Amino acid sequence: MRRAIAIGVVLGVWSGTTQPAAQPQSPMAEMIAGYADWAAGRRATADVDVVDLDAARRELGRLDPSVIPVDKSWTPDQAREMRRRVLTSFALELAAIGSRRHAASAARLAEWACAYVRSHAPLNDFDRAWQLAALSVLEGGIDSRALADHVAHAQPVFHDEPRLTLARGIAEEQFNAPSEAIVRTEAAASLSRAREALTRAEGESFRASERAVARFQEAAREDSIAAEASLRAGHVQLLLSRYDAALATWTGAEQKTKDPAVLFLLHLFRGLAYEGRARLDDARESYKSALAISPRAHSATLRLAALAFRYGHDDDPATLADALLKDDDPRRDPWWSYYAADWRFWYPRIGAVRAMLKAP
Amino acid sequence: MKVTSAAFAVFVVFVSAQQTFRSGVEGVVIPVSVRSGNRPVSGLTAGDFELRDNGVVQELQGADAEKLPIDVTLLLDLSSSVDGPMLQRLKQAVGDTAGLLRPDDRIRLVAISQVLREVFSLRPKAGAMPLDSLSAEGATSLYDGLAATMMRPTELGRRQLIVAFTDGRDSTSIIDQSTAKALARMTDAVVDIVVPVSAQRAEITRRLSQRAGGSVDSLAGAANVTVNGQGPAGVAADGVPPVLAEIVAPTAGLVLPLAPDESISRVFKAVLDDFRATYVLQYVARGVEPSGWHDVEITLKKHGRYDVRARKGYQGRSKIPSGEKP
Repeated sequence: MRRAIAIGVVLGVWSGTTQPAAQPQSPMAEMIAGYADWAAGRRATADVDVVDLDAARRELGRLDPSVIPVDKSWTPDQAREMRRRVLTSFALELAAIGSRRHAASAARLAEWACAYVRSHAPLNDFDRAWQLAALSVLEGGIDSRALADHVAHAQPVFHDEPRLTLARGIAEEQFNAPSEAIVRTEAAASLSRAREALTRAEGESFRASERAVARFQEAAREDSIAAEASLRAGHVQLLLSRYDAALATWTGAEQKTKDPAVLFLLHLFRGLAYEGRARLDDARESYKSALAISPRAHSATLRLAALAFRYGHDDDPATLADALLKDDDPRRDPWWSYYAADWRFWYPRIGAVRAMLKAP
Repeated sequence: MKVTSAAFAVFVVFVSAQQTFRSGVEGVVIPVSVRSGNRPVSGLTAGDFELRDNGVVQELQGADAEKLPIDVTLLLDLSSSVDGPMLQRLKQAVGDTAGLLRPDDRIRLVAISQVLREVFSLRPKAGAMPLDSLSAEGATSLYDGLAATMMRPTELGRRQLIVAFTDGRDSTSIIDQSTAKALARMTDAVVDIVVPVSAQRAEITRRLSQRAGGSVDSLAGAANVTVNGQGPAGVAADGVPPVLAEIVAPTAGLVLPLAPDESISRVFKAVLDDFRATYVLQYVARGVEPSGWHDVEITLKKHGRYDVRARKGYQGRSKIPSGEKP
């Protein structure tokens, strides 16, 4: 990691400040103590800055847990549990800050904390909430290997968690996902190109796609993730130019979910598959259906405009393109977070974790 | 009986809608660059060119160039990969490029990251430009950016140039490579792409350019470069994604590698100067089917060795019925 990052975030607002804990020594210890005080309601805000995620991980590893302040009225077991929660949550907060640009470092930090979570017995609601939040960080990093490693560790412990089942397929799908994070430097870009060439030569991209389809099809048997699993299986098939197979995979998927992002993407991807089959009117209707769910989303707007530009129909491509250039709200388009998968759930999931720190 | 009437009404509406689509019978505009060595050749008239549309010689109505005002779209990759000094150089280059425009010319700036954003719409060069707010972050929707800008039609009596600056890696576009190439075949604009390369690649490019006996132009444009209609010249520049050359080729544009120590402003100026020197051949296609793809072949009647760079054809705009493979 050649470039350091320095990001300050303010984690929520909490009134009712009482006595802060005694000042610990190192900046990291000070920061985690502040986080614990914020979680306990002793401070209004907590600042979390990180310069180097790997350095942060090493420093957390050396940290004496007793610097994490806890309520003096708690029993030793309660105090130990709260310190474990604060430490692992804090690590996850740090990892999330850097996950999009420094996915590998973020994954190492999350994995370090994960050991404290998955080894806890018996597993409790906090452990489950933490795992889901960690999945958001790891999938958001778009680092296929890191995600696969995490799932391999976590799934035997949380074997009934459907999102982990889905994550097995996502890890395979992310193998072929484009990522900005790993090409930030010239050396990294060269390395990335070499890796791409190698994987192409070895046919690994194709095999990863085949594995992804199989795992998504397996995941689709679980009702709670059936729609998203079908969506993703079909998308991989789409990228393999198996348009009819993709369309068949998506049959009935809308009836299995109310998630607007999944519904939007089903229409968008169907449009792409229809274009592949030269069913242009169907493609156009699919893009319009997507836009009915998320008006002015760039992806569907652009595909609709391109269709009009190439083949001609009532939509004016220049007007559509001009409109999207003037509207850059990133929340409009589920496509932008498609490969980052569960990253879109990060805020509600870390919210659940934070709530369990505040009310253990 | 009512059902039959309704079905008939729907059919009539559908057919009427089909008949309003634009087709290839409208005027065709082909920008053409003519060079002798590295220098543009000036003073040519329509009578100096021979243009064949699907093999049929066409009557040219004009070969205007210099007097047509220009609309320049700068399309800048502002993803996280260009953060830092490169971003400052880009801001400087935007200001410098605007300063080169003539009173009738216009410029607009579109930023590409994950999201596309028009920083400012087409405007004359006068006035301060809002560049301070530009920042580099996120992923790259390069093909989306190219698509969104290429679909803007050129206004009557003007010319349109799109200059994209990118590291060449696309990560979040919904527009795939093949669609981007298809759109490029149909755009009215000339598209040039400037790609930063490492010092090592820049040296390779320079050597290949010397070996090819031409300028960088004849290197990176590759397939679109014709010498009096005699086919492609030059080789692809190492390190520049080949797909970029395939996208700019049908627009008669170029891919220009940018060395680390090279001025972005200078490269943008070269692009603008080159574009100003292009001729604009106009004609109404006669003796050919308006729809479908039209091969265009342009030669110079004058004797001598000239590089004639022009789009290799255009798509006649008529609806392809659903079910027919595009």
